[in-house]
Amino acid sequence: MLSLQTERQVPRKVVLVGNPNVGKSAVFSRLTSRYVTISNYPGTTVDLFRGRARIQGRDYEFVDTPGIQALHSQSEDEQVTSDVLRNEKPDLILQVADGKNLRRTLLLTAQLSKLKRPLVLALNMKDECDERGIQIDAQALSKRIGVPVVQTTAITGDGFPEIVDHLDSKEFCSLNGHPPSEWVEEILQAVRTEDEGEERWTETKTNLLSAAVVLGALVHLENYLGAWLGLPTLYGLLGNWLQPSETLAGSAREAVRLVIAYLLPVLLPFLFALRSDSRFNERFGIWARKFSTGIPILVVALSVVYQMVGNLGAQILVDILENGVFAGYLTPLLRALVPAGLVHDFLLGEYGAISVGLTYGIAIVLPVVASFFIAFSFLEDSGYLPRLAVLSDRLFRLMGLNGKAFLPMILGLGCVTMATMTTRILNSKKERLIATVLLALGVPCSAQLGVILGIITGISPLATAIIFGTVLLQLFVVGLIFSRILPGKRSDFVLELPPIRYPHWKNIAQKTGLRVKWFLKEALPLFVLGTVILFVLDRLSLLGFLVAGVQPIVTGLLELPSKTATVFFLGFLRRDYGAAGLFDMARNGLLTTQQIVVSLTVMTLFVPCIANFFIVIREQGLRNAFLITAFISGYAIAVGALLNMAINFVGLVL
Amino acid sequence: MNPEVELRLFGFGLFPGIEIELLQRFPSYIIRCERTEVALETSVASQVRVTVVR
Ligand SMILES: Nc1nc2c(ncn2[C@@H]2O[C@H](COP(=O)(O)OP(=O)(O)OP(=O)(O)O)[C@@H](O)[C@H]2O)c(=O)[nH]1
Ligand SMILES: [Mg+2]
Repeated sequence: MLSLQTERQVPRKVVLVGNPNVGKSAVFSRLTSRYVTISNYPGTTVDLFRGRARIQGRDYEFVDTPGIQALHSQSEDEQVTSDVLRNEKPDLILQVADGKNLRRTLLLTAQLSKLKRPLVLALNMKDECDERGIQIDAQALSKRIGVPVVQTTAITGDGFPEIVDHLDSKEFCSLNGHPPSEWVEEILQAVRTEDEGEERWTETKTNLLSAAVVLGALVHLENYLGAWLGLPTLYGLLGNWLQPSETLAGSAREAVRLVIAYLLPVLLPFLFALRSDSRFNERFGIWARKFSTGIPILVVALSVVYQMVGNLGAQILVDILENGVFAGYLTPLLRALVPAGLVHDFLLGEYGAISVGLTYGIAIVLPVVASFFIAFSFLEDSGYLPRLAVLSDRLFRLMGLNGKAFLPMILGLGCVTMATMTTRILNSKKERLIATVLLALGVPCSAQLGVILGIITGISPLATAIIFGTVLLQLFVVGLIFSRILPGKRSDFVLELPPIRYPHWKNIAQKTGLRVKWFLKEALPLFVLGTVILFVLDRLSLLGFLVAGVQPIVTGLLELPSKTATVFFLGFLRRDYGAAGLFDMARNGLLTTQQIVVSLTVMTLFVPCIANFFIVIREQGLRNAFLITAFISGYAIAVGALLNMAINFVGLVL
Repeated sequence: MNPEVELRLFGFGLFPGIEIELLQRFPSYIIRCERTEVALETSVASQVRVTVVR
């Protein structure tokens, strides 16, 4: 009877609250064994996540929240947290904090105490405190503020038994001072001591490590420079042993050659330095945010990502999967199994669910999505991205945004839909709207990026430059115009820079796995659905009518072959799928280079995908969503037409 | 100072009487306050009044 009663009890609701990037999500994941995204920049979590756990015979509901600066802050992610605290009357507030920043922490504690809920303070990042010689007397602090204080390291699980011990605490916080005031300083004096952390590494060693990293970067860059100047390069030399060829083994050899020549020289010393020497991390953090050193670092970082995603993922992996697995085994096997007829055409024909839909999704897009997310998760967890926000702030200000908008924009390269939610971290409505429009207009998601990378290897560098130049220019122009015509103001740029940290492979693997799964669930069915729709339209001979309907635009204005119209229809479902269609046409020689440039530009500027459309409705309302979609469709075609005319006018041969 | 900005800086523990360190001026101002590095654009940084102690 008794046990039945406990089971019927409503779970105790524990809400995790704290400043941004202190490890709330890491603590949440550990308490609930439910993985939520953990990254090293403020603003990772922008929505609530709930998880149940049964701990020592009691049920708990944990709520992970977006980080807050203060209880009354204005941006929409922070609003989410204020709302949950106010409306849901949690049984316990678990304030997660960065032990390195005790002053900030106590200011928030004082604000939280006004909510009159039981509170427990978890001073996280204990490992980093130890490293820096910061010691906090948790018991003394606990006495002062009247609630349990525990010290934790979320990434190792250190201190979690103590959190669990206090989950049923009923203590209220006694702080009730209005900052700024003396009480904070007085407490800090009493409970915190700082001495030099133990120095495991000397300055000389850090200098040596830095030199090794710089040298590695130079070796990486020499591969381009040497090829250009006709000097020997590491990549060239390796060609003697690892000869690429058309066979599968040849592709694999090429992959090994790329990794040894381009990736290992930079990544090995860099990872070793990050892992072992916290003084190097600090130094790298400074280099990355300074203009003079930040730009060279950016160049190397972009090049490494390009080699991983554009070369290794988009060329070699695609080659292995498409030519090796699909064209080599799977399709012939199915061809042999399925007799000619309707079923055959449905699965393997010109608009076949397997020969087109699945092949595009799995062989062409998936390798790029996966390799992109590995590289991107690494960047996220290192703490590098907010430093790029500092470097790009002045550029973004011209577009009615500030450097903070760099974060959602770069996330858009992963997935535009998720990034549209992250615009919540921006501080004004105007900024959110501009960022949402720019994301939908011209930030290609990883899937589309992959297809684009696949196409551009077949065309000249000039043509590639025209495509990317036009798209970037449109982002800039539209930002500039919208910042002038929309009412409201941009907010001031204020952004916290997290420390540079060594990214843990387990988190990278989990995050990448989660995102790839999401892609498979979200995009693959649409790929197949799109193909099925085309197949049906084709069978019913309706495709011809539809194509004829948009003929004036496609063949007239943009001067593209009429088959491109079907590809644009696919683009309405997902623009990456549309781009994949262009890829196919280009490979089969159905498009001239000029047509590739024009059609790819239009497709990149097109509305992203159905999922994004629904998120825009949720975040911006139905009216704005329709306006944005209409604007972008028209704008994309207009830019394509202008670009085509300009190329004709100049008489450019691409 | 713009009260909204003041509130945001407050959240970093940046209030009167606190010792901060100026780390960088370009492309943004960067200050260290406790163990946090905060980037501020010039117009915000210019509203923070400081006396040099070192
Ligand atoms: N060294 C160390 N790193 C930690 C610890 N806890 C979390 N981290 C790292 O700190 C970063 C931020 O962790 P998150 O859990 O995403 O932080 P959050 O508070 O949820 O951040 P927002 O959702 O952006 O407010 C990640 O890179 C974590 O790996 C810790 O105890 N020690
Ligand atoms: Mg989080």
